[in-house]
Amino acid sequence: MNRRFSFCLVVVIALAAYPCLGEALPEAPKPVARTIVVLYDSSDPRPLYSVQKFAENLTGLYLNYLGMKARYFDINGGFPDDALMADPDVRGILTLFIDEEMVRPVEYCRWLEQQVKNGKKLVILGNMGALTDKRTKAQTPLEEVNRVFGILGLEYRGNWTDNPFVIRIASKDASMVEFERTLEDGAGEYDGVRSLNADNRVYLTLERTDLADSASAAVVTTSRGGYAQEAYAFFIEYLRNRVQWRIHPFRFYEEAFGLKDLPRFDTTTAFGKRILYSHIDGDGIRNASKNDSLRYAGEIIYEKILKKYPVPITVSFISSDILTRYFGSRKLETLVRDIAALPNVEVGVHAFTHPLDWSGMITAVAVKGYSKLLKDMPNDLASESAYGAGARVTVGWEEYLEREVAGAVEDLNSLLPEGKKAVIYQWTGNCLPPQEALKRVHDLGLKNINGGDSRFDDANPSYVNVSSFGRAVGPWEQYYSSNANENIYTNLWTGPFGAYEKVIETFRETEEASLADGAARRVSPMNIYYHFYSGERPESIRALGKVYDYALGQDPIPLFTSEYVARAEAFSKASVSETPGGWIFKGFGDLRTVRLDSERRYPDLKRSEGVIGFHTWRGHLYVHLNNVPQAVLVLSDAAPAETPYLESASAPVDDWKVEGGRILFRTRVVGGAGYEIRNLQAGKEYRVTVTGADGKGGVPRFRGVFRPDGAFRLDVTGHGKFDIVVEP
Amino acid sequence: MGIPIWKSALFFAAILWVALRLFPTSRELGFYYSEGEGFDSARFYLARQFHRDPLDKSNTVRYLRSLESSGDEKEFENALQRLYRVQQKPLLIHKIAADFYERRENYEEAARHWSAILEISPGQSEVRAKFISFCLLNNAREPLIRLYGAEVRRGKARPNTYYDLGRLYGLDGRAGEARRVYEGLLTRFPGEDRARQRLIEILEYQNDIDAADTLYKERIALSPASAKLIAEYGDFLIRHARLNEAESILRDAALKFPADDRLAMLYLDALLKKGSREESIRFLESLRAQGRLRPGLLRTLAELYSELGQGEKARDMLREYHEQTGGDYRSHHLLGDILSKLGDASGARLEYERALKLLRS
Repeated sequence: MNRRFSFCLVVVIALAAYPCLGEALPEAPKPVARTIVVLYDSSDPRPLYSVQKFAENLTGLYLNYLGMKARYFDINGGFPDDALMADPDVRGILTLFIDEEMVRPVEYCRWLEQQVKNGKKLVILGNMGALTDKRTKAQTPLEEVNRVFGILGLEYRGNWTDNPFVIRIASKDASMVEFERTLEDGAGEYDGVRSLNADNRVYLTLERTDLADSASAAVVTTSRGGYAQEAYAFFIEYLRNRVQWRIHPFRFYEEAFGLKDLPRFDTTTAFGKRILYSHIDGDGIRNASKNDSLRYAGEIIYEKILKKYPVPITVSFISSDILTRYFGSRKLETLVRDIAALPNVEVGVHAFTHPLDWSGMITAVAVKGYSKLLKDMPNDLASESAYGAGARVTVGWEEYLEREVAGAVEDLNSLLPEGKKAVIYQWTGNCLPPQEALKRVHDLGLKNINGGDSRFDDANPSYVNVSSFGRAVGPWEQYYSSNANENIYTNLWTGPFGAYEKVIETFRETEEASLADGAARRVSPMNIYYHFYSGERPESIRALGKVYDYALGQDPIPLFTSEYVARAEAFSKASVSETPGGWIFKGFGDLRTVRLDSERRYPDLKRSEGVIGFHTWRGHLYVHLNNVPQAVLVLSDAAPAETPYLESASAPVDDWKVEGGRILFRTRVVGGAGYEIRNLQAGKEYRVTVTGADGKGGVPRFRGVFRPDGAFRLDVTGHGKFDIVVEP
Repeated sequence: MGIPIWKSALFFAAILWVALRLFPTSRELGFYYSEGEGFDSARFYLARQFHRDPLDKSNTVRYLRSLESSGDEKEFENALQRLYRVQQKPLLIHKIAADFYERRENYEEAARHWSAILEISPGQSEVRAKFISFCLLNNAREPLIRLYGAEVRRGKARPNTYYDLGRLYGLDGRAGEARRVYEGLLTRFPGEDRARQRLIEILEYQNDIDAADTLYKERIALSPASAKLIAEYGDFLIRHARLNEAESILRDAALKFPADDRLAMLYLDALLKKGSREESIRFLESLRAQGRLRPGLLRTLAELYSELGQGEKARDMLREYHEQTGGDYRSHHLLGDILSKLGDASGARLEYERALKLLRS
């Protein structure tokens, strides 16, 4: 009886307390969907190099900046399969069509409507793409078209015209629709789209003066996505394929996909500082210097750059260029060993013969039994090829890939001093490696980079010219270099040879776009990327010096290229979940920076886990995570007052611990590094110990400065991995 | 005895003359160096010769190229100024200068020279493309108008140039100038139907409806089999409230092109605007009989029956519409009204609830 009474009492108490229990029980973390499926139609007329490249240029960078992954899908081959669309990580769909024709447009409209009904966001950038059947040329019934517009809270009415005399801009929000280009060049097109929902945010309304009730929402975001008519989304100058934004792509995508206030994994910044990485392609190592024809350009780079700037630099070599049995010499082999022996150098591979067209098997040089100059081939192949001076590989596909990838790596590794191995593969030529090449590089455990050719300067005044950090090639990822190299700035190395210093403009614009809205927005790291032939000329060496001096003057965190690529790789694998109190991050590996935009709060370091510090830059909160499998971020209105934290570091920091007032961490220093630590106890004396972690770092030198407000600055000079302890 | 002094002098003078002839001149040294070792070694000699004789075309070109290669912008500009002073039609100089600035990505300066090149030699298609691209990217409308205008005046422009020029005037709201451009285009290329269409747009804008009407008739006379054109004309007539003409033309066209939905819709529009409900219903029923009545028109038919007080017919039409499409807010609301009038309160309530649900979704 007593037991029964006790049980009832417990049940009654539990029921009475139920609401409170409900509040106290932590809700299951809600994963943040991070994939945007970008649909394009490869059979559309090509505005740039390829329709996919065009789609990449108008989506990748912005989605990545907003923490999203873009997955490209060619609708010409059918709709994305159900398994993909059922993936809870798919947040939405972005369509980007060049024309209004498509095969099976009615099915497409119904499929798209269903996806939105299933909870996916939908953004139509430019043409809706399904107004006409590509095969039959029949118009898609308006009812079908309006399945798509309707579910967005819009109604498509047509009445398209390009008669400038009847089109009027009724209203515009210039901050959204005049991002890189004003509407001064006129309202040249009208297509009737009525906004049906008062909650829709219409940024540009057009009217036809010859029609009643003609207000058209040309740029609009809704609770389910967004729509921007082509003529008002971006501007294309077709003669030379130049593109500029009209809409503010960051804001438009952020609103349309509902990304505001989400934390974003960030590949541009580490430990509070902008990433700087530098890499050299092996071309031209044996070119003669114009100043001293007895010296190789490679020697000049070695003396004037690699030894002068003790920052991490990744240096790659073309194996046939340096090996004595091909075109190299003992002197070159020695030079390679000397370069590789430098503590600030990481070694990369730039292929065996430098393929120019990867899939076409056109390579840069003729090697007996392997490749033959095009001009010596029958049928005058040289005049037909874009690479007339190149050579056609004469061995089979498998052997070609084997020798260009694994063979080159093996050859190069055999030359390197003990302890150094090639860690990265730097794509050559057109930088369009086939899947099989990417797989081979992946199987060898190497990172990969190149391609992209980003520029953002007065000659290329648009974010459109800034690439995302990579592209998917089948199941593999190719990572792009973050900035264009000197070959592009010097008109394919025909001069002016000092033009590479213009890359500084891109460094500036990709952090604060004076050519767009002027906002502080760090969209890419600084990447100093050039070839050995830059050592040929004094002007190019001077330009390189200016670029290094500028970049290092920005107080960056210099990383090896493989370290940057590791961060880009981790971007795809990482996950974010939302909890009522904050955010949970998992699987982020080397990508240990999370950014929150327009965030006025601070990390609550007592309640957070795996958060080692933070740094605020121009309204963006950069949070540094420890090297742990999972981190939890809880935000607070008050700045942390007691717990010591890392504000910034110019070298990677691992295993950060705060134990009873002691701070312990491990770091990797190349040349020198600085660490800013906050919240030490003011007035207390601290002791700093720096020890070589692997015994190869030599004797580090260090200097610490304590400030009365509890801030501490530690500078370490040396090379190697060190354990640092700061204790009272 | 010996050799007479005058003979010795003559001999030595001859030797000296031959020696001087054998040694290369500055001009030749400039040429040899620039061909052999590159401009770095040649520049001194090229400069010397240039300052002696800027009209020495080959040397001048080499000198400018050497300055271009060194990137000495100031010296390059000085050399250009000197050349402008001594030459009348410096096409080559502009070409070198444009190249110089383009390679330095100073497109504003390059554009100045592209413009000059096109004035001297209008047939340079590559330069033209670069110049137009620059103007478009920089929203520079006036230089483009000048370029296209000059090409049109020369009488050798292609139709696209006329269209581009007319469009630029259009975007500026300069209807009179745009009209003249299209009239000029039609004079040179009478077969350009698009020019007539553009002219009609301008005439409508200028409220010269009769002239526009005449042009439409001209177009239809030239392409009598174009249903699209008749539809455009019908639309034009409806827009300008010429409903009787519209009705007549569209009725004939709807008979001539029975499969053309746009014509059918326009004919219906003309009938409805005229207030001819019965005729509209007859027309829609005929489409229905042919199986050409799209769901949207089924709803229109229901609305017409409802307006004429034929509630039961309207109800049946709407139910058919709902079967075909699932219905929308407007159709369920209308059916609610109709059922209410027919005394079916619960049915009406159900329809209103459906309409509300759709509105909320």
